[in-house]
Amino acid sequence: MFLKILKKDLKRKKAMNVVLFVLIALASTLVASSTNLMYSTTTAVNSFISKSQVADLNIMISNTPENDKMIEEWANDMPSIDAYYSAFQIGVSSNTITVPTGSKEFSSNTSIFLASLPQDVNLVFGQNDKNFTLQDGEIALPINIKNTTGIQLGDQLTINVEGLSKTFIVKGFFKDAFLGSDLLGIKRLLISQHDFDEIKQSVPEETWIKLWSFVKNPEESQTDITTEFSKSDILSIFDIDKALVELSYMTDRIMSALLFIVSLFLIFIAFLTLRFTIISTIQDDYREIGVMKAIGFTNAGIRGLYLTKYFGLSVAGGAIGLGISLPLTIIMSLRVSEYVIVPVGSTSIVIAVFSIFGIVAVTLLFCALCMRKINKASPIDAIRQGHNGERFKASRKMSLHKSKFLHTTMFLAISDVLNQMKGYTTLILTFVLSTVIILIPINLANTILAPGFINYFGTTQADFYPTTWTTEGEMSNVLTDMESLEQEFRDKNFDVSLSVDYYFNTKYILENGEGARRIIGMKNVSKIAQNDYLDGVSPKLENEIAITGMMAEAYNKHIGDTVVFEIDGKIQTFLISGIFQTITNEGYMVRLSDAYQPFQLAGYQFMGNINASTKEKPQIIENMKEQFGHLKIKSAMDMMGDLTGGFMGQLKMINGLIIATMSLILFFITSLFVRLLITKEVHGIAIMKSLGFTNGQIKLWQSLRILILLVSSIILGVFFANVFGEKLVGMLFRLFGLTKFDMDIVALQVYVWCPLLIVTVVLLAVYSSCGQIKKIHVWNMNEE
Amino acid sequence: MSAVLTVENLCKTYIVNKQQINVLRNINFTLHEGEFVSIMGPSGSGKSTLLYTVSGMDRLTAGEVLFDGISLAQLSEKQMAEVRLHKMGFIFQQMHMLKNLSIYDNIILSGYQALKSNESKRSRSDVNTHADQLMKRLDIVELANHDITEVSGGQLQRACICRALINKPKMLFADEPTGALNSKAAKEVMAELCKINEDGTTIMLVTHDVKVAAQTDKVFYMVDGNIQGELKMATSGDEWNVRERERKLSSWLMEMGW
Repeated sequence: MFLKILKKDLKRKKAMNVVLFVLIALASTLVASSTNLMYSTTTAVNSFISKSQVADLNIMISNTPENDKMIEEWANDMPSIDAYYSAFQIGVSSNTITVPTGSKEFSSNTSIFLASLPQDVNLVFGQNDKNFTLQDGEIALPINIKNTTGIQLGDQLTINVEGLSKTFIVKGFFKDAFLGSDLLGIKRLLISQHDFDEIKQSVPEETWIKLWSFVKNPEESQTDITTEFSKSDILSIFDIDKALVELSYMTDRIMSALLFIVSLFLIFIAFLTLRFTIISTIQDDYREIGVMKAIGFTNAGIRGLYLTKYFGLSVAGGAIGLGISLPLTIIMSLRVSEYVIVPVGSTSIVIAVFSIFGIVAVTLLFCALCMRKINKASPIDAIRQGHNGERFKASRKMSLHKSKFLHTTMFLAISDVLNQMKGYTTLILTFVLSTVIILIPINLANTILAPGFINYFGTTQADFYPTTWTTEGEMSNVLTDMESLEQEFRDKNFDVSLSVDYYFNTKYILENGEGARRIIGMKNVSKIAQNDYLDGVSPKLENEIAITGMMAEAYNKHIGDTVVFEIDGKIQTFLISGIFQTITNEGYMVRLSDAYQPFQLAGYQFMGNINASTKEKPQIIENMKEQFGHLKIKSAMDMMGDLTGGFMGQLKMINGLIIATMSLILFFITSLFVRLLITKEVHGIAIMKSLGFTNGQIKLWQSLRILILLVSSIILGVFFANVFGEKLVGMLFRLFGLTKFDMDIVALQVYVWCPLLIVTVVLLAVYSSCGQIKKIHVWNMNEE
Repeated sequence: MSAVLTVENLCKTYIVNKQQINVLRNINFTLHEGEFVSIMGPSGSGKSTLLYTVSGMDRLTAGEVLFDGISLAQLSEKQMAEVRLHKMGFIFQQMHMLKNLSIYDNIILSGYQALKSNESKRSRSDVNTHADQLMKRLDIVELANHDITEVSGGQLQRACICRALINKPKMLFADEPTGALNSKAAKEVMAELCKINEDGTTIMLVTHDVKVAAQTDKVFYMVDGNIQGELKMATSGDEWNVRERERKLSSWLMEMGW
């Protein structure tokens, strides 16, 4: 008999059961896939870093006997260092690499080094996760270069180093745990030892760069080496520790965490819907429940009957979810597995199975909780449909006769919403959550795409960036270069103002006189104003400095305090004039005034503003790109793409996925609700029909009611997404060094297009579900 | 008097489990303006189906129903709703009203709805005035702002009558209007229906109650989807006496197999 009742229920509530099934399947799919993705982006990254034997600290430094001596002495004196290695690298300017036709040039923002295959630390692996060898004339490129340039296996690459031109055949692409992440702007190209030695011998010795790698004693904490190195007087070109390598894979973790949060929201929505459905079903079946109780069924027996159905639905939904999640996980992990060695084995299947098992168990537990109402009702209560004869006064919020102009259908819609607000809680929460889930990633993407965001990367915001990031130089030469470049633009009738960001090494000195940390210093000789100070103003005098919010917090410094830095080997005291923030170097950076003249630069970056209207600028930049091909001009957007690596593309893909999933969910849930509401309101609809309301007017009433709920929910959702979303994303960016995060809200997208999309999806769902109104007849009003 | 409702060869068939069930078979009758007709018959004889079919609440399978000269079968869903709104009033056994509205709002709802039509020359205040008059006449003025769960069955049925009359319909259809009421309330409701009929509104009602049917002008007796017989009641003389009419109707019903 149980089966008969069950079969009847499944047949009678086909649409409702289908929607529940789809929701459970979707939730299972997303939970299993995102859990797997989280696993591969955390465990896999860690195991990859470990398998690649990434050294605990790596520094790149000019190849001089003095430097060698200093480093060896320092390393030998450090008990926490277990072993250290050195390897030669040769810096190559990206514009000296000739790529095959059809491939893109190497990014000028990426520092390229030639090296031979690493043997001891910072190992690399081929695309098949195996070691590989290189013959003379062959070159291997990191995956990042393959993806950004489109270079294929077998292509020829010509590299010109200090007058020596050598052509290589691309033998393969490799996974590089050390420098492979998109976020790191340094990449190494690997050639055979013989080729490397040949190039090395043909270039001046001072252009050789040495990569020193230090491996800590397993008993010492990792930060020891980095902290101790900061205290030393060794001036490196670049240093990166294992923690920074791990952090460079953060974007993948953010993406998987984002997906996981979305799937949690989805489960929440699925549970709300489940609760609403169960309560409605119990109300509908109250009489049957009463009869079953009256003839001796136990509460557990009746609950078991309903649970069987939900068990069936969750197991079937979970099974489908598992089936979809396995290939989906592979697709979603493609990016990660392209860069990282994901451990092979059945772990992903085990994770998926456990996730699904968890979902089914929690669903059933939740269903059992929702069915407590069955216990409370006595057989007679249930037979009386829950009415115990008690009369009550409904609290009506509005009256038709008091409204002078309100259309009757509009009145009915508003009156329903106001009088039955509690009944619509699930729908309101679903709408609000969906809006929030769609808008937060959109706001995040818009914030990152906003022109001002580039400031956070330690690059001043400008219209275009005309030449490459160049390492080392002297200030006077740079200024001469800038002036002649500006003249070059003017000669070709481009009215531009150039400026330059200088980067130099500084060391923060603690109050006890010890060096605490190496910090990149920056100064901008510009006609471009810096307006991004959280507090205070930009430094004006030679002894003024601006520090980041992270530094202010770490060292407990405020505006007006003094700080001591070592620059160009000299200890100097500065007065803090302003606080700014940056996403680079874990949030540590300082800015100095125009008046300060550092001697040795670590690098510089030209940038320019076009004296034209905003509308004309994109076309002017295009013309400049054509006429000054050798300068590899970049727009602010190109620059952001380079700086953020594949993050923007990933974010856009995830945004698309979220919008599609949420639209689907909104459609299904709205359909389910409207169908349930119509089923519950057959009586009222029949009355309206008897009074002369047309099907169209009844559909309008249903649509208006949902629309009122939707518009109110969207307003709430937009508020939550903008206010709480900002706080949530701010917490995320704090990991990268931003102490204050302001979301960039694109009004047209947030207030018009997204709400319009949601409204369209919901109205489509309402309209498609209203078909059953036609099937309701006046005599149905006698069927309670 | 002109005909309000003309029914010719009306058939209604349902298909249940691929089996054809003829609920109404070749029904013919005509109702004239001001007539008060009741339909009686055993359960399942097709009384309510007849009421719903001739009032356009349900589609007919064959035949013709002319309401106020309009063939209901030819009307679209929208046109049919318009006819129901402006020209017909309905009263049901279960006193169905919308839960979220007060008694007063339930009464005026279809009045306001009718204002959107070109046919209506009334304003919202005209509808309110008419509702006030009806409620006064049916003695439920004090219930105006009450919830539908706060009043008795008799009071609610009177509110339903007010609602049915709010658009001054040409004809009133009532499906066992006293079926759910106690005898006192039933008597009061019937008294009101008689007064409404005296004012010129044509009424057709379905009932099982001899006392109710005895107050109408004509009784149709239905068996198995057919009108088996028709009894005209006198409107004057000794037969106007209620007890005498009930006695006459009872003996006729006995003859019909009641």
